[in-house]
Amino acid sequence: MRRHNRTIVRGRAAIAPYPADIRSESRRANSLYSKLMKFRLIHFSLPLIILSFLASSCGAGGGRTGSMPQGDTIPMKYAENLTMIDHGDFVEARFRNPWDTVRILQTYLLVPRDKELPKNMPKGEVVRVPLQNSVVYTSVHGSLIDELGSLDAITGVCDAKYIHNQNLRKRISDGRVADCGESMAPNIEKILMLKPDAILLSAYENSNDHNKVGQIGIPIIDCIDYMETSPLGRAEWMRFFGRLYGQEAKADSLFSVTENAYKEIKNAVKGVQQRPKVLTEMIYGQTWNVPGAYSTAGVLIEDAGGRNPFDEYKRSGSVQLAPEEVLYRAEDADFWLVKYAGNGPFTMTRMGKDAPIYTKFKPFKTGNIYGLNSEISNYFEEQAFHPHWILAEYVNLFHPEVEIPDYNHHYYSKLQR
Amino acid sequence: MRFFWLILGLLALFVTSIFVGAVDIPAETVFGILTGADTGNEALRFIILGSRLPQSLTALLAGAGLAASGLMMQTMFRNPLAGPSILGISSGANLGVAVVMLLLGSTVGIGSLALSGYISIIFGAFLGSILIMGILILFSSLLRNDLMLIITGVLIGYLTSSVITLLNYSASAQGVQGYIMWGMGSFNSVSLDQIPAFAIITGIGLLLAFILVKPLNALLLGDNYARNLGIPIKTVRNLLLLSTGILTAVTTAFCGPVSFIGLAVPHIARLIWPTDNHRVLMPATILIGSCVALLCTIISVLPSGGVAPINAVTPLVGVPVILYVILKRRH
Repeated sequence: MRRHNRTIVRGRAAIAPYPADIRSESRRANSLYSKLMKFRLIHFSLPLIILSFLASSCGAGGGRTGSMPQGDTIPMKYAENLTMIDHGDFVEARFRNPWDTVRILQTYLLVPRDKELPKNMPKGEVVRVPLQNSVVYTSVHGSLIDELGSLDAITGVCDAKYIHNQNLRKRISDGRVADCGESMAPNIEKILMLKPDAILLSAYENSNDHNKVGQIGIPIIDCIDYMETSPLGRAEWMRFFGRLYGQEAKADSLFSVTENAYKEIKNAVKGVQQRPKVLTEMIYGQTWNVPGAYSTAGVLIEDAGGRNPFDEYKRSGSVQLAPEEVLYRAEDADFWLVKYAGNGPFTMTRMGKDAPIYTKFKPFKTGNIYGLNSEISNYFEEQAFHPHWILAEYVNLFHPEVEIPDYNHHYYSKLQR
Repeated sequence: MRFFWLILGLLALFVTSIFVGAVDIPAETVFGILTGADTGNEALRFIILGSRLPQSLTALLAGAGLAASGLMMQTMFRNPLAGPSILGISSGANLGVAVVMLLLGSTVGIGSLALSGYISIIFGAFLGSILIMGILILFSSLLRNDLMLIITGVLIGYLTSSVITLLNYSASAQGVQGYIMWGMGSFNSVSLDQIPAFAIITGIGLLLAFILVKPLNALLLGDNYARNLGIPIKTVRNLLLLSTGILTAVTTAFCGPVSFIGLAVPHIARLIWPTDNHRVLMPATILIGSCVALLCTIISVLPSGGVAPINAVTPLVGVPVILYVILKRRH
């Protein structure tokens, strides 16, 4: 697990006016800025002021005149793309662009709805919190908001047919929550009729450039939590969503429960001698997407005391390999975890018919293939913000001898022959 | 003599396509596996015999079938730019497959289908391609203009893709996924036990193509001249329709829509044999078609260990040839 402890930088803004629009800031300015931070620690205040001037002037057009309010950075331990600064009367949330990490994707200014807009706010999208009337495109976030106790603040959803959360489903069938169509082609008119305070959607690269929903003047929250590479990094984003819905204490404590449970399970298998080799997924088209060493799936396997056969690909995403390459590297895997969709029974026989190459892997002979039906399972809704649940399941599979407290979320089951 | 080199080249490409792949396997190991000397590694044996061999055979058959149907269409429509993908015949086959997979509902991937499922997909592809061919033949008798016919084909392509989009919109996520996977095009989705069926159907289509060699030569001289030679134009047209329909449909059903081979290969054949005689062109086109398909398979292996979809590679061969033909016709 890579950890990114962020130090609390009190009053940074007062010394180095932070360019409001980092988009235009060069890499050089960024590295200068990090040097600058080191200087500050040893109180070289005079050169610092000069340097900070240099740093801000490097950001062509992005510099701001006038002073900015001070703020406390809310420390993030794992999330790499999220920075939150508490300015007292508002919270500034900065999303780093995961596809171009020297840029900022969005800055949101979460201002309590009962207060007047503070003066001297940095540049960014103002969102009045807590949200009371929001449209949530993804069931992952819908479930989290339910868990935080703010289900009343959801008035519309997209892709209703993929929502498993029972509370949300009930509200959709009651008509209390509107079905706004498919997330890739939402019903804009319906969304406009709801007059939402904000829309939560899963942003993808350059999605804002051609997103019609972004032109209707409603704040769009780009949920890029899924781009975090570490399981706890993604879960930590719940602290942002908590602040969005006025449930920050609940979200912070829920995250610390998740974090502690995750670390506890991870520590329990730290010293295991046998680390089983774990193969995941199946062929899609002509390729097989396998987890890179730093991908969420890869990290989960390693943290559960397993071995990722593809860990020599030092990448944070998945790696596209030819099926024969996968066979070559993972023929002797001990476990095979697959996700499938559909109503019919998914058996090993059917896998073998889908692609004869499957029958050549060791788990096909030993029967150690575990499947998850993504159409029925709550896996996708739950694992994002409860990575310890899936970690517990992995440990239970790979190391049944290790006792895990509170293991009661089951996703995978052994496939029939 | 040129045929001798062509056959030699085909053999060389076939062998190379078995020796080269995503996994580096030493040549002596491949040789050992092919000759039956047990190397003890089941994974490697499967890669050679279960994956690469059927893939090479599929490329061989699909290339031959697509190229032959391209040649027949170019003669039938008297249009050098005719081919299964340009004239919308492949999209007709796509539509047929989309109806079977999305509307009637099939399972995840084409590989998972039982024989009955396969037959329904081939049948769907066949009906779709014949339907479009029929429309095109009707239009070709009404419009005596090559360009208009091509435009008609392109329009038909748009129409079918709009129907496919609508079908996708209402289909289950699972069906859509299956259809998208099939649509990427691949020579690797046919397993060794499906090869005989594929080979027999392709064989029937090619046999028809060879029977039609003489009438094809006569058609080149114009319908009236052919009629004077005693060629039953209507029957010949129907047989050509049947043969191209079978070849396009079976390849599209098994491999997905594979572009450019049918269009480009007959021109490569004409470059090597500057003749209009189908007695020469037909076998040459079939052999070169197989060569090009095998070459594309070899190229599609990426250095990163992945495999590019076959439709990402075929235009590399096809587009320069077509540009050459267009430029040559200008003069």
